[in-house]
Amino acid sequence: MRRWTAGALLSLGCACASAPPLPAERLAQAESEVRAAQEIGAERAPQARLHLQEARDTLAAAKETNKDDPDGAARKLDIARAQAELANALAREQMARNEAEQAHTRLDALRNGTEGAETPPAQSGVAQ
Amino acid sequence: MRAGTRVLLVAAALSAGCAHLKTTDRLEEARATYEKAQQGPAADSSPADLATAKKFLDLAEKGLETGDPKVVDDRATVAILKIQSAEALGRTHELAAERDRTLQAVSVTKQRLLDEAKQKLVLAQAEIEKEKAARDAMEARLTQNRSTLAAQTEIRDLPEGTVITLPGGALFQQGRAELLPAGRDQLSRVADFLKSADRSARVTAQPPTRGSRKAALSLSGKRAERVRDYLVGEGVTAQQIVTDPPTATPTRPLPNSPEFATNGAVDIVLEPARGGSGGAAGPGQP
Repeated sequence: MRRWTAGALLSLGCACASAPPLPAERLAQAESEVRAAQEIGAERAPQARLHLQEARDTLAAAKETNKDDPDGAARKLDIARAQAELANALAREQMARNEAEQAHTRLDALRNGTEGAETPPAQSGVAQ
Repeated sequence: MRAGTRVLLVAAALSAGCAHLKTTDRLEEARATYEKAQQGPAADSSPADLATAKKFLDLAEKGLETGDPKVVDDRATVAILKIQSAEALGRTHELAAERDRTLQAVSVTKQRLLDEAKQKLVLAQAEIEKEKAARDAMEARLTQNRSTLAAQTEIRDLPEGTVITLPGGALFQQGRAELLPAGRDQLSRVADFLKSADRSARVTAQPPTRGSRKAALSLSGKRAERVRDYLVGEGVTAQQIVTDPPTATPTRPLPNSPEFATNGAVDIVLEPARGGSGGAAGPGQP
């Protein structure tokens, strides 16, 4: 009986000391989306950078609160992923905007008879 | 507390705990964001992304059944972010389409400018060919006129220009300044040459080396004027030809002939062509 009581206490102690792990797939998806946003150049577009930072913060918060609120932490992973996706989309939008502007500049240069001063081809990545 | 009261309080508490959650501010915001997105470019440009966002909004709506506002708010937040992503992708598609249209316009404009430039080049080349043909024809006339003239006069290419020397006796009686009929014929050919040369000219009446210098000076001036007037009458423009000041002694060596010594000569000096040689038909020609 005493052995059984000690085992139960040990189990309880372990449960209190370590939190359940974050859902592996959702964590991986969120982290992958953050990396994708970084790689596409979200840091160089102001709005995208903002959401990318929020995604990182939310990801950190999910890890921090997992012990006390595992369900809330898992939902935070979903939010972090969505924030990173938005950063990614905004970075792509900025790139498309830059390319459209460069095309307009080329067209204006041609129409103004300064075609020799055409802008160089569209750069990859996004503008500051 | 009586037992009945206790039962009522417990029932009320249970009822409050199970109360169905109607909405949250965040969920309202998500609904409004979605409605707005439906009116924007995402509806046309990225309908699939917007449909995905709607699924997340539905999930947030379903979260109301849990009665937990945190669950609803978190799901609504995800829905809002998904809707914003769909909107950004919609704008991206529109910008890409605008870029493509503009690049198409760049291509069309380049082609138009190229065509215009080619057309201008063709016209310029035709103009150059025309000018060259006219110049060749003029040169041919000049060469022909010079050859005709050279048969009866002396033509020399000197640094000051092409000097046509007509013997005084061919134009004038000795000591006179009235043109002889034969002299007029000669000057007509000179006029043809001058007109085809289209260069300015000077007339110098070289006096005879024999006789009075005073008379020679007077005769030089009169003969030069007569020759110039005749050439102008034959169609040489007045601005094209001038007379040199009268001279009592020859300003250029006269051919070694008694005829020149007694009746002088008339030199018509054709200015060198701009940037060209002294002779209209080239030095070395007769």
